[in-house]
Amino acid sequence: MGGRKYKLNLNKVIKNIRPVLFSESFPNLSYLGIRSSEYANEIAAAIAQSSFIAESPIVDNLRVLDLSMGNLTDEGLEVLLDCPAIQNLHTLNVSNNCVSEEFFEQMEQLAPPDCLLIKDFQEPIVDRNVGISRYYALYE
Amino acid sequence: MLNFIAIANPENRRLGFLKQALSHFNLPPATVIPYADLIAGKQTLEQFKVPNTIIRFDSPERDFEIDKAIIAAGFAVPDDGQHQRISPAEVAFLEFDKGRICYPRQWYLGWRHLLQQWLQQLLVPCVDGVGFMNHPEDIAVMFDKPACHEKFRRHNIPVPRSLGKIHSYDHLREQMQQQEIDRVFVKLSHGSAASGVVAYQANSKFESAITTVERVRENGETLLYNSRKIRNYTRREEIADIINILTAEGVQVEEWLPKARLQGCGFDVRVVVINGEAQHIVVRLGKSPMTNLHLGNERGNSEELLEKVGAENWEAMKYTCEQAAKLFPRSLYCGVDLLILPDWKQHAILEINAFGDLLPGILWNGMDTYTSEVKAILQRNIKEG
Repeated sequence: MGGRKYKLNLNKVIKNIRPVLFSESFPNLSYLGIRSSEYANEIAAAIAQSSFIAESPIVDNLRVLDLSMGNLTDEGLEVLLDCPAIQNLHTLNVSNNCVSEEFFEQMEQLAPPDCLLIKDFQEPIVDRNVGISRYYALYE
Repeated sequence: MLNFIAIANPENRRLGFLKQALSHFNLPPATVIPYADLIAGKQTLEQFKVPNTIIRFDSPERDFEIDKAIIAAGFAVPDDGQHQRISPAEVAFLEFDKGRICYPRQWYLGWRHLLQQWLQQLLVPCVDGVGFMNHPEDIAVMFDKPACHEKFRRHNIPVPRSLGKIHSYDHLREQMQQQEIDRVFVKLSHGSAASGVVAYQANSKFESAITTVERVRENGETLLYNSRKIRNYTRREEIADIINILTAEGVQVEEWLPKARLQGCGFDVRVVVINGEAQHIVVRLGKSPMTNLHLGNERGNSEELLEKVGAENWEAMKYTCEQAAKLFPRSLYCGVDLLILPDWKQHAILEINAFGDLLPGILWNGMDTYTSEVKAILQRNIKEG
């Protein structure tokens, strides 16, 4: 983590999804799934950022945002929830990530989002880093 | 008009490609039947026993609940294998553990059993006019690497030499010595996407297992994971442990053939055969013995490939792929993995994949794989109609 290659790949990923977040590629998108991501926090930050600076950010139209099976942590989810447009979502799926139970509890008390939050199966990021290269095989 | 029925996991992106292909011919989207509903018995396929129905089974991938249900369905299927077994009650407690190789033989037994069951729902009693894009019985065979290898060998399709059924690490060493083969590929009988694949070499002094498998010891047991990070194990204890687990689940072991090189890499070619014709191709450049693209390998330049191979050899290779596909006459399409030897002429079929048509962005005659498949169905229907 944090190596040069990681940075290079990260920049590539963010550059590739930017046109989607800025509604240039699919202006009427209602489901956005960026799953199994190894850059989940950075992607969450990019989504939040686009909602402030894009002319018509994709989150404004989005019904479902699916960030499941990645390595999203408290930090990344907090940045995402700080963005008001998230309240427009019908469903936010952050299952199979690395958000702590305490964070969810705190969130429930302070500012529960209006949308349906799917948050099953969180595990510590320490465990996740060990298996960061692991993949769920497709069936061909 | 034809009614397309797609059996799939609703979140699978393959459905999007199908929808796009259908809309290309002004056809409405397919009716999607989730695997979850079929397995749970909430729906059956009997409702589709009407003429002009085309059924497409697509990959049941990327849904752990479905994997669990398929594994559970495999528990009661009789089998003489040495594989790890898990009861449906225990399956219910399995938690998603990304990349973990999970009961592949029992999964396969469940998958084959379910495909048979769905076929029965459609065929008994028999109704004319229900068609499959790929036939469930063919799909079941294509998910069985030893069965495919044997079928190809019997029909003189060139394949790497098989070492026969291998039961364990010791048995593997013995057979390699006896058959004088010092480099082999060990592949899970029912794995795809390079899951459970080991490129193994051994001589009297040294041995090495280059693999996608990540071996983890936890609470006194070994867990195997699929990893994009290719590992090279050289300690006998680790290699033997991995091979013994894989062989218990069933493996296909064959000689590790040398590959021709393109752009500085070994490579193989994914050839999609649709309606009997070799169409879409992707060159997969391997930085390691494994060439699968999701391992970080690059797509190679197919024009350069065709130039190097030459028109005549390429025709022969396409013909081989088409002959391989022809052994599954009730199936419209498949993805064939073609290996070309360093002389650019000899070649061998490594695998055939029932759902090997996911090649986003690859066109043939201006069509992607899904569009070409739908077109073939429509043409067939006009002829028959």
